Amino acid sequence: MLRRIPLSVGAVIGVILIVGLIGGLTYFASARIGSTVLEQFRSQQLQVLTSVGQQTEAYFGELTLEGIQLAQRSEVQANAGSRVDPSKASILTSLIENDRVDVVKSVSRFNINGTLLYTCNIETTVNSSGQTVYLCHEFENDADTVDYSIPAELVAQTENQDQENIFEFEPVLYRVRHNELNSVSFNLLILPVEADTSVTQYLVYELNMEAIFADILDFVVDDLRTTDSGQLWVFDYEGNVTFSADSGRADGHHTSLSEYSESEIAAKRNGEPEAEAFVENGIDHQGAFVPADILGRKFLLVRSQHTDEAQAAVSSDLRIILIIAIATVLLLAAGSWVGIRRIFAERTRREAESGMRQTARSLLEVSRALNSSLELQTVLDRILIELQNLIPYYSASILLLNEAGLLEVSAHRGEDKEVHEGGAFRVEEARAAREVIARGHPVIINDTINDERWTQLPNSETRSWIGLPLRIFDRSVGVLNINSNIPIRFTMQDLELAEAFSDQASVALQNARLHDREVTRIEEELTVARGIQSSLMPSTPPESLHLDIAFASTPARQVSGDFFQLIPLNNGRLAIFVGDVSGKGMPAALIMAIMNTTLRDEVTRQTDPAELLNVLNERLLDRLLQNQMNSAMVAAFFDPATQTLGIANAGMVQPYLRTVDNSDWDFVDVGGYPLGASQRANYYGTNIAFIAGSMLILFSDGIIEAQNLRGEFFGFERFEALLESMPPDIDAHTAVDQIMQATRHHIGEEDLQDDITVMVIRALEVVEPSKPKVLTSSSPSVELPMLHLDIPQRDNGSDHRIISTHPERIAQNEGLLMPRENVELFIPSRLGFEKIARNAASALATEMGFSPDRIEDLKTAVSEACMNAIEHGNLEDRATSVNVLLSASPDHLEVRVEDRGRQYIPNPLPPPGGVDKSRGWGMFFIQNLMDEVEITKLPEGGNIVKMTIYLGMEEPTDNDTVADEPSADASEWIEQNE
Amino acid sequence: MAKEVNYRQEDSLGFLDFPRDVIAQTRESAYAAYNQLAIQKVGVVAMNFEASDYLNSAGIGLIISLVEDATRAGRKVYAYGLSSHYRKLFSMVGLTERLKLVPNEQTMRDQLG
Repeated sequence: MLRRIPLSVGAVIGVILIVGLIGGLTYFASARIGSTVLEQFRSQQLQVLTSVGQQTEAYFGELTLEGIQLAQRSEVQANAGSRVDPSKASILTSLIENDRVDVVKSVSRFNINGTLLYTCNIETTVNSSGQTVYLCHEFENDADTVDYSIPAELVAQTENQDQENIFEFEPVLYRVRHNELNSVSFNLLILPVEADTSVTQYLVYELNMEAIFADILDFVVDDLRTTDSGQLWVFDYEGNVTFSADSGRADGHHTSLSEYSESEIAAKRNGEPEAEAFVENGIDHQGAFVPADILGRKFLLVRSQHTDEAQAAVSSDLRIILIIAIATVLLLAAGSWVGIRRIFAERTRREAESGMRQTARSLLEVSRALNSSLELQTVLDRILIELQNLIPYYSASILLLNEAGLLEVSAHRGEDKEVHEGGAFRVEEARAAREVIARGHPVIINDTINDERWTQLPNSETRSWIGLPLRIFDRSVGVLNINSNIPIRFTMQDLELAEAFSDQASVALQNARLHDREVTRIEEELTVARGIQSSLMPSTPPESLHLDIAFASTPARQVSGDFFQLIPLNNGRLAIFVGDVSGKGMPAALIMAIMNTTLRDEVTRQTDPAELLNVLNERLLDRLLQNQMNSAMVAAFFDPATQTLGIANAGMVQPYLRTVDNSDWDFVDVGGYPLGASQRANYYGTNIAFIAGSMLILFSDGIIEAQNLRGEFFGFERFEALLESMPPDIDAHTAVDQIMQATRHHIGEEDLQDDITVMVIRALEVVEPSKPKVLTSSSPSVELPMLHLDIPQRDNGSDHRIISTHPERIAQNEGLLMPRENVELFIPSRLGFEKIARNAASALATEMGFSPDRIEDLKTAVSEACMNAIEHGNLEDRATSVNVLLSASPDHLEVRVEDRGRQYIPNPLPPPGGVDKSRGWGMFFIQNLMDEVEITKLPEGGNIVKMTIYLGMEEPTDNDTVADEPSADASEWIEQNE
Repeated sequence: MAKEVNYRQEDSLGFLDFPRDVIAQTRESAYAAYNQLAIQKVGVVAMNFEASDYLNSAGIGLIISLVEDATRAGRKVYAYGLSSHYRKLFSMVGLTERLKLVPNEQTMRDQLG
């Protein structure tokens, strides 16, 4: 009650002040009326007329649309040269339905040469029942015609078009002269109509422009009636007055805009809306000029009035407005004495209700906010932020008991930062807090100066305090302090609210503590694992006279699935490995450790990398299969005696090589699927000359697939562009640095999605005399086949094992037939990645013994299927992937390419080389190169292209390479060009 | 690791040297190079694929467009350096009807006399 009386008095004083202010403003405003009133008039008129201009444009837009719809009616299109009833009836119906019978005088039809086909004059009669009836009156005989014709320029324009095709022109508005009488003009709206012969004709509306503008400008004309001197004009695009209206009280001083020249009128027609003062016949006027664009032609709408009348009208308006304003304020003032107390009482009640609802909502939001994180410090900080919304405080802090039994300031918010400078203190030093912890209940102190429980800290300004217990499993673990610098600040209501909040905060704290401990435990284990893992990989490259080696590796998680190894062998040789175990984290690291041990065990026994990969696969297969994992690895053996590198690859991205003689980077074409992916992997290798100045880059796919926040991959293009930018004499360390920096730069703020590892090896010039090179300098990168086969039979001496389904060879195949084996890949929906699937398919087909020609067929088919899936199925949406499943059976290889299908592959397929002869060949190749092709449309969206090639099937020769003839379109293209 | 199509000219003989990958992205440089030869009014266009080891359908479509344009302009087209696989693909799409496939540049020169 005490608070309401001052409010009422304040309101009354406020009303008095407002009345005084209005009076003052009125006084000052009256002094300025003379100078502003005309500006206001112009502004009003301009606004009104601009609106009218917009309505005018819309009106003609609607009229045109109706005309186009009429022209598209089948009965109108079907009767190009007739005067039969369906066409007439349709025209009449359209005009009546759209209420245009008064504004469209006639509708005529002309052919493309401008010859009249028929016309429909709208006539109005009254029938015997007194109802208005509209008729479409035609001419009696062919000799009759209309009084106008299609403008010659339009005919000339359309005649130049190919009449066999549909000619499309925009609807146009024309003002045309009478065929014989120059003084008479017609306004024609000319629309295209497509006849059933597909030849364009003209449908012509003869418009009654005066009726149209009288209709549109109706309310402006009405407004003019109340004035003494108002005028309204519409000038058409030729400068003629199409419509005009005068004041209802004409005083003989009509203006005609005669002071404006034609060019000035034209300029206003093509300009912006404006209002201005002008003198006409010695009398001052105010005018608004607004252009309207009607079907591409500019009309000009003008509204004017004598200045003295305009001024009087606006002044009168202003006076009325002021009177109304003052009367309203006085009414409010009177009302306040009577009802203001009641109004405030009601408001107070509503505020209280609203406050309760707000509190409930806030507590709910607090609960959600506090439980939205499990990170301890985040939860503590959020507790204080949310608390401020419930109980406004000067400062607040959270003290938690640490393991030493000290109260530690774990979070603080507010202005008195000095309070928690000490960081931690004994419970005994804070008696109030000790009471909260001991009792497990909140404590309130509203006078800290005189309460003996309170220990005032230096520089503290706390005068009121609430202490709330924070509990975990019914055990107090800390105190939530709410401080105010005002004495007696907190009420019992605040205390209840704080207690409710404290319960919520305790739950969040409990969850965060549990999570924090679990995370800490895992992190400790991972740190140990990382230490073990790091110790397995070299920390520095081995010293070498022949090679400059540098490497870097960054795990996506604390423990990496990527690994690398450098193992010196006898005779100065060096074994180099870079690998990537599927998956990340601890499981990948454990497999990597096993891999490393096996690798070290085997590397000294094997003489070349391909053989080593074969043995590793054999030894690790069971373990990898058991854990549903596999491991990619590229192995390279450097021999300083011959200055060659033998390289074999088990599923890693192909290494990049730059030689001295060829400054371009090129990848080393070795592939194979990962270790653990196939029971009978037979890896092959290649030997490359690695003389001084050559550089080899081994890297994991994490670099190529590194994504930024926009989801863009680093990709092969950026990677290759980076390599191209490196100078020929770049050292290994700088090259590694540049690759890692570029990858990091690309990722930006995004988290690393996969481990990234890169190793650069540069061959150095060796001063000591070296042994003669095996390879000549003119062909430094000659590839020596290193295919290692443990299968006895060969096909005509070929390096590739052939498993045949031919009856005579089935016996030979016995014991070689593989069980069905699957290799599954998920490639990003980005062009370029189809090469990965292509290489995997090639490796598997090689294993199975397909001939080189058939492998080439397969590579092309797989590439094309993947490209289709990426480009047309997944629409290059990088959030999706293409699933490629390679299934090896004893007598055939099946490749299944599946997309997530935004678009279906059409069935049947359109022939290739259609309108655009350069497109559509992908599916054509697939169908002609594979033995079987099946396309399945998935009901949930997506396509599966299943392709099969059989071992032992007849190889197409150069003479009959194509099982099917080229499609009709392809043949047609050949014929056309012959 | 050239990615672009380069051109060179010897009198009325124009060469288009294709890169390792002949794919959709090759189109722009291929047309730029071809147009330069067209401006020079060469009578024979020699497509050199010796460096190419990957032609996809978009790349072959590009060759079709170039050959079509050259044929329409009355130019002879030779192609060399293709593996047997890609010679087969050229045959499948009917390109061998419109251009002369030869093993290498020297054979082409011999045939041109």
